[in-house]
Amino acid sequence: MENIKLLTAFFIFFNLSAASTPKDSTQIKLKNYHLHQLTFEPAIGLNPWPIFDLVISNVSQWNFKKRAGIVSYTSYSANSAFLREFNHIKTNYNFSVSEKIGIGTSLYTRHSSHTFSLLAGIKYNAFKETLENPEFDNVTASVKTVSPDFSLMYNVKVGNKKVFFCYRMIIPLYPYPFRSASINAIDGNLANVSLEFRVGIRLK
Amino acid sequence: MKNLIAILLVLVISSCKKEVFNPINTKEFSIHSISNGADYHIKVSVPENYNPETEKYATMYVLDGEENFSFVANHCEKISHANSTSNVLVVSIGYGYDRAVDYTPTNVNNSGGGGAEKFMLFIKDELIPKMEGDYAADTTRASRVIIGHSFGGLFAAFAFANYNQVFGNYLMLSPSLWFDDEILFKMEQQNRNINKENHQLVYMGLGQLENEGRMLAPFEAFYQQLENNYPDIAIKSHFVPRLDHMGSKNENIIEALNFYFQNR
Repeated sequence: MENIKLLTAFFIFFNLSAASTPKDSTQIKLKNYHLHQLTFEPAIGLNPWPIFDLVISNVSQWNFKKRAGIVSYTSYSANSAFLREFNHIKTNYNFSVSEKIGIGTSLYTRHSSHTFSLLAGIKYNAFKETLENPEFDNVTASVKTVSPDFSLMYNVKVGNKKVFFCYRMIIPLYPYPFRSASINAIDGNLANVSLEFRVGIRLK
Repeated sequence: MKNLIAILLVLVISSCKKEVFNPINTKEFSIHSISNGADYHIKVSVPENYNPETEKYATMYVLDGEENFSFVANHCEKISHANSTSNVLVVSIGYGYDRAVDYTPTNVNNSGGGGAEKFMLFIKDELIPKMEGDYAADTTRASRVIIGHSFGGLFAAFAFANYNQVFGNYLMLSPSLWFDDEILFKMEQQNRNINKENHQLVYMGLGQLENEGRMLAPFEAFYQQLENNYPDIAIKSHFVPRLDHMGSKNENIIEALNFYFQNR
């Protein structure tokens, strides 16, 4: 539990420091950064907690102003991708699909842009397990569920050309505090923290 | 953005506050266990209008007591009141050895676990007699409840399979039934013929999103094993929607207590 509290504090500190970046310096440097009005950014990433999930995602971003844009995030996650057999428990399938949309604000440096977005949407989770212990009868169980999905996204783009490199971090705001106000629920948020690397394409 | 962060910060800080049960109704003591040599800090919440002269009370033994005691005690008070039934003595068992030692039935790959047998003897031979001697605790099997989460749920299943004469009510929340190649399934099978003569009350709860590849299938299998083989059992399984292992704990405690107070 202490680790969870420390991680929460880290995320808040991270966001506070990002939000307090001086605006004056970015305005000067903005002249050197080519604004990408419409981008398409496929990525591959990981949910590191508690067991690695493999994430394939895409962000589409349309900047209708220099500092404001509409962001769409789509992802497919192969959950617990590297643990599909454990103590005679076989994972038949385990995945999540998420679609979120939101608004973002961008800060600019000479060669990069930093976008902070607030996203909302839905997530579909499905998993199925079978107990295949030879000493007992096989039993299969499955869960399919749709849940709300809220998150903060930090998205950095490096490079001024048509193709550029990107990194993003997704910090979930669900189930804590919206589904449950218990601090225990933050475990579920951490399970969906995603770190993603990608190549972006500037369409316009 | 700054406003959002401020709101989040307030929420996190308020959520981190530990729930506290009314200290006037809480007694505390420590026991040095003869069974396993550990020291256990015990808290007991007594019901409002506790009257040891004229009444006997059911007892609820709470594993991971340092984490769960106040939440369980507060909700026992609320739920028993809502159901117009008598409250219980809530007994918090603090940590003696690590929970991965005390709550696990075997020492897998010399990992240091496997203390469940001695921990159970501590409860049976030392803690329960003390509760029944010093408090107005009912001495019947039917009046004793054990509640545990995760490894605590595994220990509750261990008590069910191996010491079924001690407790009549088992509240197993997200039990780690995958432990040691589902060793609890074998223990349950070995003692089934004796245990099925007893009346059982069993609640099994899980978070709907416990999808780490180890919880769901054994949970369902154990539930079926109990439901199909015990003629005199009141059993319920429940999935807390859209929450995982830790997030589902408190909601499952509430659900389990409701089931207990309505069906005991």
